Amino acid sequence: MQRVALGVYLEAVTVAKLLLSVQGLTKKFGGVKALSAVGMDVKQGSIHAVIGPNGAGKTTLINLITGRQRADSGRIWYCGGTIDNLSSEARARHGIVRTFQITSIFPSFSALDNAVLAIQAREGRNFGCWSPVRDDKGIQVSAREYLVQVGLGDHEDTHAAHLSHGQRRLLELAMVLATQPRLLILDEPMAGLSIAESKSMVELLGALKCENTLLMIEHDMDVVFSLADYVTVLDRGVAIACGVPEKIRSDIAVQKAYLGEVD
Amino acid sequence: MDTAVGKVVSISLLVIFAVMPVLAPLVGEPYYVDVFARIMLWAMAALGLNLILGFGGMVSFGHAAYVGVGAYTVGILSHHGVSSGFLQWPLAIGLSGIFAAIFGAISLRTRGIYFIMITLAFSQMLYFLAVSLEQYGSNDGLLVPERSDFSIGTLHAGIDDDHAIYYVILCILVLCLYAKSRLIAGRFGMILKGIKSNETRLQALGVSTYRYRLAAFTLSGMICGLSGVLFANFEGFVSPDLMHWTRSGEVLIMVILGGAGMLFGPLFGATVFLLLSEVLARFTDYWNIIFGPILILVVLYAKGGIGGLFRGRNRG
Amino acid sequence: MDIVLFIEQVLNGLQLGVLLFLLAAGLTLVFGIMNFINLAHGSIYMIGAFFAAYLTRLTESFALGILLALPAVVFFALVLERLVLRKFYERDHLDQVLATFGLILFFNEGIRLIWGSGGIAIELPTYLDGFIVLGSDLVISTYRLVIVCVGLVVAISLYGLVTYTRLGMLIRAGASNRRMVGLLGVNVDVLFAVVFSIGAMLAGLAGMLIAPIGQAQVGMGEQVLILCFVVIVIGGIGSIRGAFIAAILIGFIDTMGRAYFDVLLLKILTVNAAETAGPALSSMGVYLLMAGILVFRPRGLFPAQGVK
Repeated sequence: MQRVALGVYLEAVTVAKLLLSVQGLTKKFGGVKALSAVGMDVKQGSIHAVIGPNGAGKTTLINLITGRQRADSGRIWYCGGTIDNLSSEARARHGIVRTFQITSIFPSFSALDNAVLAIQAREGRNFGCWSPVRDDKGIQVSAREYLVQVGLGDHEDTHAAHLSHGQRRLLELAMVLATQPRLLILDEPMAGLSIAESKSMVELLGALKCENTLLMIEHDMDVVFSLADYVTVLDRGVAIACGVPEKIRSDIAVQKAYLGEVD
Repeated sequence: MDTAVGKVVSISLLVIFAVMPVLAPLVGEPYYVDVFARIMLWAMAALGLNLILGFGGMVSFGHAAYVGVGAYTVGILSHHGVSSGFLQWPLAIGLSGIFAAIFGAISLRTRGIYFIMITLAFSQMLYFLAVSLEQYGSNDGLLVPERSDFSIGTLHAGIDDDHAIYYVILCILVLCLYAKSRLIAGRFGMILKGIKSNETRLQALGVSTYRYRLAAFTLSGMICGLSGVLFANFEGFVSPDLMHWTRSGEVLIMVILGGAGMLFGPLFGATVFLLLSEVLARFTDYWNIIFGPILILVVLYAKGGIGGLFRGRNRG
Repeated sequence: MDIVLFIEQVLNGLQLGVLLFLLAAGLTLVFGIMNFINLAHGSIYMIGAFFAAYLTRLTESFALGILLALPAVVFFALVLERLVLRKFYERDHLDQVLATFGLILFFNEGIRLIWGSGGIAIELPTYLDGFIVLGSDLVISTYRLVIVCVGLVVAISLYGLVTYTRLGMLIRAGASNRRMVGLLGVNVDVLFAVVFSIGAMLAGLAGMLIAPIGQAQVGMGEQVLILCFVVIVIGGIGSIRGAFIAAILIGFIDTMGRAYFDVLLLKILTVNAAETAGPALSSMGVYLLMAGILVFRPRGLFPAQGVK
């Protein structure tokens, strides 16, 4: 009896604190091990950064979490349940939504319609054939809000293909936010942004922290150390360190594998 | 047709269709009424294909098959003395939908080149099925003894009059165009266009795209089925030729010629295709020797099709 | 079961199979390495048949006709590749389908204009028009055997070419990773032209082999083209081995289906029903097989790695 009670208690703690937990995640491509037995815990309401040199397996890790690729072994726990058997679309519907390293938007749509489509994705019931989405006040207003939130309020009618690189990154973020994710995964959000743009992106991500849980891959160490609550370091497919930024900064293994290279 | 010019041209085209039965005999070419009726029938099939090709990005090379299913259902029922339109039409459209759903469910698991070839092969399968149906005329086809009958009780209603069937076709075409304009602006249409624009993104947002593609594929097969129903009624004759793979190719050409992904594109495409072949055929029996190269040149240099001429600049 | 009939059907199946392979090999190679879908491949088959038939009549020798027709077809294909097809390599599949559909219309009409819609029939030379007698009832047409042998020889040499030569290595590399071949410093234009002419030569050869028994006809390419699509879809696009296995499979199933399907149906259905359903089902047989295979393997039996 006591054991069961303890189990339930522990699970309650887990559910309360951990949004995502991966254990022993392994993935091989041909003969190459991209990830070997990687473990990582992402706490609810935190910003968790994954860093590591090129080819360390960061994007593979994200692909496994979002279900784009399947792990050879290991388990993924999310909100207290295992999601190993869910399709990537189902995981997205459960709130695991990502941005891509190479910005992925709907280039033939206006910025506003990009956000509208994201809201449609969240709401489901998309077989409606008769009433134009343009006339749906609710969805239009809410889409506009997401554009305003990322600072694209003035560009709602702009064709997404005509936005600048930085604006597209923001648009992708707006779309992801419009799905109201529980776990927001960002694959190198700063890549290719100008100094001014990264500055506003950092502010934006910092502001998201109160309501969202963020898991991000990032190369810019200044950004990582200023934003992240926790950092996991990957090197050649192995999680070599994990902890608060200060601890990572002083970790010798990390310095050898990664920071040393940069400096 | 985003621009004002495009709208004016589209509406004028419909007006020309509307006055043709009166106009053609006046200028001494009553035969053109039939040509224009056929244009509308193929335009409807092209409209069905455009739904998945132009808006959803799925290149089906087998849509003539569903036209054939619709036409043969009416033909076979009528052959057996069942001429009630209330029975024929829903059954024909439903059957086209069922075939499209089954073929679509398998084809849509594949991508790109595989998809093109598989849709082609499935349509060829139905073609051979029709050829092998000896009791329904095999290669020679099947006469449809009478047009669909819409009488209720003693209230007689039919489409036996040649003008009547012409205007029934026109009305249904206009209805289809209107329904499609609603559909592509609606939630389902947004998803479809999203699939064409960036399917990976849509999936990453949590949309299981397969079911929407399948729904669109089925619906598009049903529209082609409807066109087949009207074919059987208009021509009074169905044959495997309706499902031949070159027919599917022609429907594809009409969509591209008119401008894929544009509401009135199929109508333009069918008009230009059939009128051009009509005109070329007057010059020479070997008109395909001119038409083939024209097609190649259009693909090479005028990909936007005719609709592209009227398209607003920033719609890419 | 009548054993003589059965052996004849096996030979028929084999004959259809190797002919399909000759056509499908070119199609699958061209697609695998150039990512190009060529509907006009069937036209090359037709043109091969017409060249052979015309030249046979002109020279009054079938062997000479074929010897002249082969280089003529290759030359024709090279001109076609250079003038038209090359412009479409970078286009999407839809453009390629439409443009090569235009080519089919052009070629069919062109042939009709030159040689008339009746086609050209030629007779087999006496040395091929014989029979080989095996046992008391079993008589096999020599030419049938020749076709099967030619097909098998081509299949084996092609397999050798692809597996053991430098050209074959490039072809395989191209089918799995197109860009890399360019980066290796290979002249891609030349490679494409070579692959295309090999494919065209095989398609032309198939047409030439068929000409004496089926005659050269306008539109003969299209019927067989779609069966070839079924073959390469089942075999996996870009794979020679897959094309061979699928071609033989389709050849057998189509032939056997037509020969024996109604007999089988008679065992479970009434005579009337079997006579109705038999031809219908056997004509759909290969397509049903394709559907069945695709349900489990959407990319065919032997997919080449990089083909999308």
